[in-house]
Amino acid sequence: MIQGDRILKKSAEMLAAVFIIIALWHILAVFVKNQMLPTPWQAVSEFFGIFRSTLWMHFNASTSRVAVSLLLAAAIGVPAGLVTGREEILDRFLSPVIYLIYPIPKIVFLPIIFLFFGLGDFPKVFMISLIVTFQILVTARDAAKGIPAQNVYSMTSLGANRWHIYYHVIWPACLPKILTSLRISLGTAIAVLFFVESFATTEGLGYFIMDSWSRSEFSEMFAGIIGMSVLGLMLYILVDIIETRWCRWQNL
Amino acid sequence: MIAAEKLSLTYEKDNTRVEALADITFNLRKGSSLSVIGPSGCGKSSLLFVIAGLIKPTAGKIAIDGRVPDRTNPDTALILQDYGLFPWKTVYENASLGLRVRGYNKRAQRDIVMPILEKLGLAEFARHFPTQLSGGQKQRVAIARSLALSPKLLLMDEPLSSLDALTRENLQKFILDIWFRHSLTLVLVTHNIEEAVFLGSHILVMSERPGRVIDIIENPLVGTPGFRQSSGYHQLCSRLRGLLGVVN
Ligand SMILES: Nc1ncnc2c1ncn2[C@@H]1O[C@H](COP(=O)(O)OP(=O)(O)OP(=O)(O)O)[C@@H](O)[C@H]1O
Ligand SMILES: [Mg+2]
Repeated sequence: MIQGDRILKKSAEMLAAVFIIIALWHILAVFVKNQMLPTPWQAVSEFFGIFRSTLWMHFNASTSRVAVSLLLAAAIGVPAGLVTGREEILDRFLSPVIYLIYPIPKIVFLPIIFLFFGLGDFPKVFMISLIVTFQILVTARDAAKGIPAQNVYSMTSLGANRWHIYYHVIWPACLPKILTSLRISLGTAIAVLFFVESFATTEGLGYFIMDSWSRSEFSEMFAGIIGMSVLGLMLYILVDIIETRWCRWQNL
Repeated sequence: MIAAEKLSLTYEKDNTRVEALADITFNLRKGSSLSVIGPSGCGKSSLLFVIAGLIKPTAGKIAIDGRVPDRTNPDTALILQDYGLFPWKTVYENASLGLRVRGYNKRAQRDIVMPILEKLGLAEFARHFPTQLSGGQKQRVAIARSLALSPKLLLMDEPLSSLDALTRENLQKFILDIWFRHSLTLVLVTHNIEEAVFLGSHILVMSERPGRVIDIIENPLVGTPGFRQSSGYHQLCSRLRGLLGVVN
């Protein structure tokens, strides 16, 4: 019941947000009167017009790249972060390394990565994961560090071993923060995706947008941009679903 | 049951030393209940952690049934100061957690935990999360979790300190009741003089930090009917006030 109400309310809010964006966009487009900025109506009808013929292929390619990158980043960043946050020896050794590497704009390694891994999907996924893993790792580590000792005592006094503590305490306690970092990483991942897809590929929304731009097909370009925002929205909703299912205790 | 001899504990971290316990010696027989009372920060929780085997004393000896305390010993259960419940687990999951980590199967967990929840008036809240409960209910969940392991020694850290007076008196009776019925040995930390007298067959009075034993008082009338109204009860309370330096 309550869950249903919440979903309904969220959808209503989402719809309102979409409406406001479209309204503002429309006003701006009418005001600017330039073919570089189509009206929302033009862009949306272009989106649906070309989705099945050309756009979906690019949409698919981008979606799988981002999804795989995020999964990979979470699969590495979360366990590594949690363990680093809990095991002091590891933390003392790893944290300086992390702090040295974290601030480097890792995108500068793109040429080297292309050199090593060729021009296929893997180097793109690798680049996105590389950047996003650090964000997730640092968040997970700090969340794990912040868990009160009382929680761990309470678990050990029940006879728990190390694995039990990670499974029953560290992981659930950090999950909300991990999901937040996933949301932030999503934005980063899509931004990086756009960048890596504008090189040496003919597939993906990044390529599609840049290509339409170079051909001055602005309605197409905006159809691509809509595609990107739909992609982001889908993944956000996915994270939200995970949160309502796994963190029910958080919003009572 | 518990034999402590010249226990001392010093916390050491990043070059700061905090002396928490000094020269604590006491003996507690099986089936007794020990109230530990002392000023805030004097090391009461630390003493409990030592008894539970979560911290090793810096000096001195402690034995439970002749053995060094071991946190994995299922005969000892500890209830922490803020109940130690996990907000991400339901009442049932919290209560069965001890059994779960000890490898009981689902069926066995259920068969043990449900009757206890029922007895403690928590059955209808089994699927609730701790944040949906009152303070008294949370405390009962923590007790249920400990009882599920059928311990011989129950350690409680200020179990009732954040409860209102009414709930508090009710739960005090409830703890007495459990102590009798499960023939437990009880160690209960409190900063409330009346509570120490009402629940302890022995009362250990601690000094300011580092905690030392000021006195161990025997309280043979504990649990007798009408004890709270008796003159013995009030005399003992005044005596404790004197020992703790509380001005009447
Ligand atoms: N892990 C720790 N590291 C360093 N010092 C600690 C640690 N735990 C407790 N202390 C210090 O040891 C002293 C005793 O702490 P403890 O928690 O045992 O006192 P307490 O009597 O239970 O206090 P309260 O009545 O407030 O619960 C305090 O000065 C506290 O700051
Ligand atoms: Mg304490």
